[in-house]
Amino acid sequence: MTLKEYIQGRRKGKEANRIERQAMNDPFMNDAIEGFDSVEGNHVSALERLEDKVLRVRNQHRRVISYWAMAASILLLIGFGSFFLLQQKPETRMPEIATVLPKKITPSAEEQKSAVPESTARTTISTKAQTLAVASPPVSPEATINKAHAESIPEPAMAPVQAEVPAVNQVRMSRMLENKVPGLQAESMAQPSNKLQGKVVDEKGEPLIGASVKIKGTNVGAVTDTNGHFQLSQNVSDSAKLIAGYLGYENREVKITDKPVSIQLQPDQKTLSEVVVVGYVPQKKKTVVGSIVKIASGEFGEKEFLEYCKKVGAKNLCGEQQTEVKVSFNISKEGFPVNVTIKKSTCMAASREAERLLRSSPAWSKKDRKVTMTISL
Amino acid sequence: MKIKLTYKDWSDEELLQQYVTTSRQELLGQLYSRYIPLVYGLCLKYLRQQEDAEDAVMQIYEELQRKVVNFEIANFRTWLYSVAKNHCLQILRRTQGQLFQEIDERVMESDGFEHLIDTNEDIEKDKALNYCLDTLSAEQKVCVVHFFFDDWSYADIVEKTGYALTKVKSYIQNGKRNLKLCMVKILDC
Repeated sequence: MTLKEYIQGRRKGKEANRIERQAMNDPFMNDAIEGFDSVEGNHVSALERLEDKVLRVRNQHRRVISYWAMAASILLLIGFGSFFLLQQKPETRMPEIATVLPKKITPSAEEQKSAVPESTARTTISTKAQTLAVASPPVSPEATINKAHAESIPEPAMAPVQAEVPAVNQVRMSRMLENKVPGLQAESMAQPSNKLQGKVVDEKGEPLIGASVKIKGTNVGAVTDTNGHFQLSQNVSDSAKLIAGYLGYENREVKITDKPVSIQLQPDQKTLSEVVVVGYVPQKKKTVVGSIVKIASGEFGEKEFLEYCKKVGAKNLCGEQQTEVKVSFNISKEGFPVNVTIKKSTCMAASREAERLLRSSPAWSKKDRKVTMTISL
Repeated sequence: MKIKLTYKDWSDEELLQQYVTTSRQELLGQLYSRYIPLVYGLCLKYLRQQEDAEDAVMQIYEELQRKVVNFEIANFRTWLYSVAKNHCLQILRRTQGQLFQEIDERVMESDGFEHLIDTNEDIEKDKALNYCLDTLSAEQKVCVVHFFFDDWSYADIVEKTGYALTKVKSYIQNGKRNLKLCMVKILDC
């Protein structure tokens, strides 16, 4: 038995025992088994891919030959193709068929015309016209009867026949469409889609925009669009789970199925009591995607703002120097800093950062006043 | 076609020797493909991501093409192990900065203990072994006996005894160590 078979799940019997014992004395084997056990996924297909890649190099010289063969066959194809195309040119029959159709119909109308003078009874003609009119919806039967009585006879007989032609065309069109549409559908169905699709909705069934969806245990994820839909193009094992999350909602795990999943999230009662401020912080990418600073609702003034700066402000903006920015600004009636003026600053980057912090600051408790303070970063 | 048929019969070192002299890519490919499961598993262990591991396997393959020529390799398997492991550690060092290498009990204890049991014909040793087996705890004894004497796999033992897999592994580890200590003590006396 090989290691490959072992990781495929054949872990019973003496052969498996042999491999396990070998692993005891062979750190290489031991590490490999540990690796396969610790990470979930389809390892067998990965191995086959890799083996394919490594062994493919061997066939390079054969490939050159196959390229030549491909080029030759393409040339042949072009040659034959152009030959047939030239042959087919005189046989453009399509317009002919189109012209035949009206011809076929008009004789019947002429027949009727010629029949009219012979027959003395007007009523029979009008009934004929009527039957034709029934077949063609655009002309109402009553109107044709009236016309048949009032005017010369051949005319009404013509009218329904002419009306019939577009009707026939319509039927043909609709038939063609009928045949075409399922064909198109079949084509789109035939393409196997590896994409995992679904929708995230809130407790009322409304779509959640920008909700995150992740495959459990991996870094593969997606964000829902404006309709709450998401798409993951990753091949995943059937046993994998999806985790959906949204701000203010409880995370939810669902099993992955072939069909598009609809994930309903319930509001998280706990988070409603807090104000959540999202700020931009230079941090290592691997630790967080975005950073969230939570500030409990309560007082917010100079002291709290300085703390806020410490938490979210960028550090070491002016090199080694201690960074200080003296600013003055007004607190608006809504509680936000306005009319910011920088009085003194260690460097340009620091003043920009101070302005940014003031702009993104939470609402201040004491409103409608002037503040002058020194922010140290 | 002739060459293809004989690849399987060639030893690692023969393939390697041929590659070094002829530098034909296919020879190294054949050799490396034998170790892909091992190398891939190793990379999985260290990198913990399927995609990273796959990339690493191909990187190591490229590395080999350069290195194989410059080194005198007595045992390809152990050499490849160290090359692959170093490669993974380097990747980790680059991405993490700091690295904590766990000290693995099993690696430290890799020795030929089972050898002792399998080829043991010495009555004295047999006696000592039987005596020492009884000094082990019940679980350790059961697991050790099944694993080394009955040739059961971990999965077999889990199924028959109902212990968890990690427990079974640790019973075997500890049982083996205790047995060894006990044997050494008795035989030295």
